Formats: sequence, structure tokens, C-alpha cells
Amino acid sequence: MSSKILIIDDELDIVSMVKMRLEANNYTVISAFNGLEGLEKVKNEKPDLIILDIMMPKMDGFTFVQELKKNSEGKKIPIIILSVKDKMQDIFKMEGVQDYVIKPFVAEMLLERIRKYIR
Amino acid sequence: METPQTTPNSQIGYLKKENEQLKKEIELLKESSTDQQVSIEEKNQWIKTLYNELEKKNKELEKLDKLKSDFVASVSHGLRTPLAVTLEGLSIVLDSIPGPINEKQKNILLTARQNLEQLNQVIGDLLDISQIEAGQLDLRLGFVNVIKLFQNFINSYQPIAISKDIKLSIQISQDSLYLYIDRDKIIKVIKNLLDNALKFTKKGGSIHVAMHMRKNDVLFTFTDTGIGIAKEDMPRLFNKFQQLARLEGVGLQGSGLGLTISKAVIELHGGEIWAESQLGKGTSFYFTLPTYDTVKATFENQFDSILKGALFIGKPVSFILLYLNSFGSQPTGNDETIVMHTMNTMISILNNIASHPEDKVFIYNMNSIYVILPETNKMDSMRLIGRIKDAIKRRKFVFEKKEIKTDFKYGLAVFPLDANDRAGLIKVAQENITRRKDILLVDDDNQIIQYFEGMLTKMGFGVRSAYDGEQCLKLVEQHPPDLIILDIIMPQMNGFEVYGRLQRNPKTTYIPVVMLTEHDVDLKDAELIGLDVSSVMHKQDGFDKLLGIVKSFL
Repeated sequence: MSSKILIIDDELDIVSMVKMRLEANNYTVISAFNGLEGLEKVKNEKPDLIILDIMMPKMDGFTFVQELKKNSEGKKIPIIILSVKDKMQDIFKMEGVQDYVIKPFVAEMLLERIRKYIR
Repeated sequence: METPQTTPNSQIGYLKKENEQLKKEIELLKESSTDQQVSIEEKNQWIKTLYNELEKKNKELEKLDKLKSDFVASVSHGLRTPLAVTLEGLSIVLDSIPGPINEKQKNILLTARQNLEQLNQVIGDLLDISQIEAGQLDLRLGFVNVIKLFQNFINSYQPIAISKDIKLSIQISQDSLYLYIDRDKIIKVIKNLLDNALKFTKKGGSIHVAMHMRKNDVLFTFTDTGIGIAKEDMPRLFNKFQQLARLEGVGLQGSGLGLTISKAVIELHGGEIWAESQLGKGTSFYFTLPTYDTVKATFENQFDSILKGALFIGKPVSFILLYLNSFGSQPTGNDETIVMHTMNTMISILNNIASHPEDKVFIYNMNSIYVILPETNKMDSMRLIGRIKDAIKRRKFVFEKKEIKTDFKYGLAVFPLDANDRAGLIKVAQENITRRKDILLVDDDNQIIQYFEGMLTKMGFGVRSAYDGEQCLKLVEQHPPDLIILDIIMPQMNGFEVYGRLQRNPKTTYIPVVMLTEHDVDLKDAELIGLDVSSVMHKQDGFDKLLGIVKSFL
């Protein structure tokens, strides 16, 4: 059974590109476009890994992680952050985040990060 | 004095002039005290006042710098993201992921991708140059095996060289040479010089790369038998947007910024770059990079002047020593590569956590990282260590698909509290890593004391005990422990009161405290006094949990 990845990002183009790339690498991919939707999807679909954008409407990445950590199941899911270079310091202040990739990124880099945390 | 105008550059000019002015005033004052009879005390006061003015101006300069970097960042994002999305889309189609494509489609898309990659290059160069001019280019330094770097380059350029019938050769005298440099930026420089050499050398020509070890630096040379550069063009060689004599068939590619950027990068590293050429015969490009020992000496000087400055203005400086414990002190072969990789990863994490522009992070020898935090006291640096531990706890260190176990030890020394010079600070920090940690147990229940004391001593900690608040404070006064385990319910002075007193005393406020409780309701009270709930523990939770919390603090 292939691993399930949830990607949360408000940029539709990026989501569809990443989805295609990851599916070509045998991952199952589900998506959400803001933090609120993301939390719903985590509850219903129980992904093995979350790829998370920081800047999103309705609920941003920081808030999403805080909310996710309140749930004992959600806490365990590894998170990779998609970020722009100058938000790096804020990201390091976050707890519960495993790794990060800086936008714009090369698909191979993201895949490499993913393989560190799930099969 | 003139009022500042509103454009950022003239504001900077104005502030810089003010800085110069203030510096001159300080100089004048220093001179005049030999002529006049003003007391040393008054002079010092005046100098301190001027220094504070300088501080304020510096802060304003910092703000303007941030405005500039925000501008570069947002332009960068707006240009790069659509380009990245387009490139990725093309790659996905070329990889036949949404379906197969025919030969004609493939060729068109390949050309499109090639051009987009060129566009990416040019945009990258323009962004680099605007960062450089804004004084915003930061180096991400780490250990790089430049021999391997060059070998990889030559190998990857051989196919192109062969296809152009150009002989590409390299002369190196050793297997590995580690320099302390920004890998990605130096790669850009090498690529720039090789691309130029290939562009301007005709069929049948040759390009030779060599490396010479010198006393304080390493000299790299790129010599080609190409069309050369005219004497009149040499002075402008590294200027912006210079694109010289075209070779037949070579279109006007690139941004004309390659050499300008290369020069800025090399000079930021403390090296030099120059060229020699003869029209029609060939060109040689040279650049130098300092040896690790040279960079280390520079760092030590910086360390010393930071301490000197701190002494003068009366602010503390924290020194954190990170020691990588997982490998021996002289790792060799593959282990050496893994250690380098681990240290480089650690540095990039630290650069994001110790992120104040004045903070300095430096790999000192194979297994230590030195972090200098000006104007930071013991409590704040202990918190920072907590954040570093946290960041690497969750993060996986992976090298060549294998996970690496990292075991870092942390030593802290604060100037002038713990020592008053560089050597002293390093010594204290090292001692803090190796010495036995001392825990103070405070509980009115003798059984609890016996139980935990026995377990903690077995784990290698030194343990003292107190049965009430008074005794606790007395023992802390005698000799501050590294950690206090404090019962909440005690006669006369309860745990919260003891905690409050410890917090209010600047000599003990940094000591981590773990509170022991038997009731849930105490958690709420703990929050009220600002205690981190992770350091409150139920007695029933058992020793393992306590040990976990203790280890996270020590």
C-alpha cells in the first residue's frame, strides 16, 4: 500500500504540479488549499505525511501546526514546510515540524526530503 | 545638520555621514583630553553617550537594510515562482507523466525548457547583483572538499568539451582539501569561468585548471588557448553588463553579470580574482580562497573584538560550544565526509536560530561549533540551547540515504560572568560539557528523596537534597545546581514561593526547575506564574518521565 501525502497550499498550480510528480513516484496524494481544509482532511484521511505551505488564507501554516498538535494522532504526522527564504527564522521557532524545502524548489529536492520520513 | 531626504539611498548616505561625524567626535575627544584638564570619568561618560548614539544610528541602518532585503525577496519570489512552475510543468510533460509525447513535441519542449533555464539563469544573476549591491549577500559557509568539487566539474564538462574538440584537463596534487566556503556560490564562480573558457575557445584548443597551495590561501587558475581579451577591454572585465568580442556562432547569451558576481563572491570570501590575457593567444583567470586556518584566525580576532566591545559597553556575551560526540576526534575516510555533512547541516540550522546579524557561528575543528551571541545573558542563551535541541530532535540527518545518529553536547559560558577572555570562555564551556551535572532535590517527603536520589545517582548525576524551601535556598546560595527538582506542597514555603524567589534573583534565575506535584490543579497555578507546563510533573508518572525531562534540560 502506498503512502498517503497531504499537500496544503493555496497556490493551485503548485499543488497540481506536485501532485502529478508525487503520483508518478507512487505516492497517493490528497490536497487542501488552506489550514482549515487541511485539518478536515487530516481527520478524515489520516495521511502519512503533510507538505505544508506557510502563507495561506483563512488559516496559515503556523496556526495549522498549532491546531494539529492538539490532536494526539495529528501530532505524530511528520510535516515538511514549503517556505520562502525569509520566513526561515520563523519556521525554526515552530515546534512539530520535521523539515523544510525553500520555494521555488526542484522536485527532486522535495522527493528526497519525503523519502527521509516515509517510505 | 541637514534633514534627511526620503529616498533610501540618500537616507543611508545621511546616516553614514552621521556615523562618520560621531566617530570623528569620539576621536577628537580622545585627543583633547591630553590638552585639557577634564577628568577621565567625564570623558568616559561622554564616550558612552556617543556610543549609544552610534548604536541608535546602527539600528536605523539595520531597519533600512531590512527594507532593502524585503524588496529583493518579494521581487525574487514574483519572478522565480512562475518560472519554477513553468519549468516543472515542462519537465512533467517531457517525462511523459500525463501521457506519451511524439518526437516533434519533445524537441519543441526541449528547446522551450533550455530557454527557460537560460532565463532562470539571467534572473538569478540579476537578483544576485541586486543583493550584492544592497550589501545583502550573505555567505552560508561550511566545509567543502574543493578537490572533489573540481573533479565533479571537470567530469560533467568533459562531454561538452569533447563535442567541441577542446582538451579539458585538471592538475591537482592531493585527494582532498577542505576549505571553509559557501559551496553554492563558489560553484557558480567555477561554472562562470568554465563556461567563459568554453565559449571563447575554438575547436582544437585546450582549457587547463590547476590548484596551488600557498601559505595563507589557495590559488586556482583557469587557462585557455582561446581568442583572448584585448588590452583596452581588460580594465572593464569585471564591470556589469560587459559582454566582449563575439565568436562566430556564439549568440549574445547570458546576462553580462557573471564576472561581476564572481568577483563579489570571491572578495566576500576574503580572496582575490584577476585575469591575464593575450589577444589571439589565450586567457588565464586566477582566484584565491583563504585556507581554513586563515579563516579560523580571522574568526578568533572577531571573537576577541566582540569581547572587547562588550567590556566597554558593559553587556554580556554568551558563548555556546556544540560538540559532536558521535564520532572520534579524528574521523577519517567516509566518516570524515559524514562528519563534514553533519556539521554543515548543523550550521544551517544554527544560522536560522541564532539569527541576529551580530551572532557568529563557526565550525571550529572537526567536531566543534562555536556560537557567539553578543548582548545575550545566560538565561536567554539557555533558552536558545533548548530551541537548538528541539530543532535537531525532530530533524533527521540523512547522508547518502542513510540516517546519521547525531549526538551533540552543549557547553555554555557567559562573559564576563564565567570568564573574561576567549580562552577562558572556551575552557569553561568545555568543562560544562564534561563535568558531572549537579541536581538539587527539594521535597519534604523523605521517601521521595531517597527514591529519586538513588535513581539519579545511578545515572551519573551528582545529587544534593533539601527538605524545605529554606534549606533549598541555602544550598543554592552555597553552590548553584544545574537543575532543581522542586516539590510544590511543602510546609512553611511552598514550591511556587521558592520558584518565585529563585526567579527574582538574577544569580539564580537561569537555573531550570522541574516542579513535582500530586494534584492536577497545580498545573493551572503553574501556568499562572508563567512556568512552562512541560516542566511540571506528577509524582506518580514515575522516574522515566522525570529522567526524560531532566535530560532535556541538561
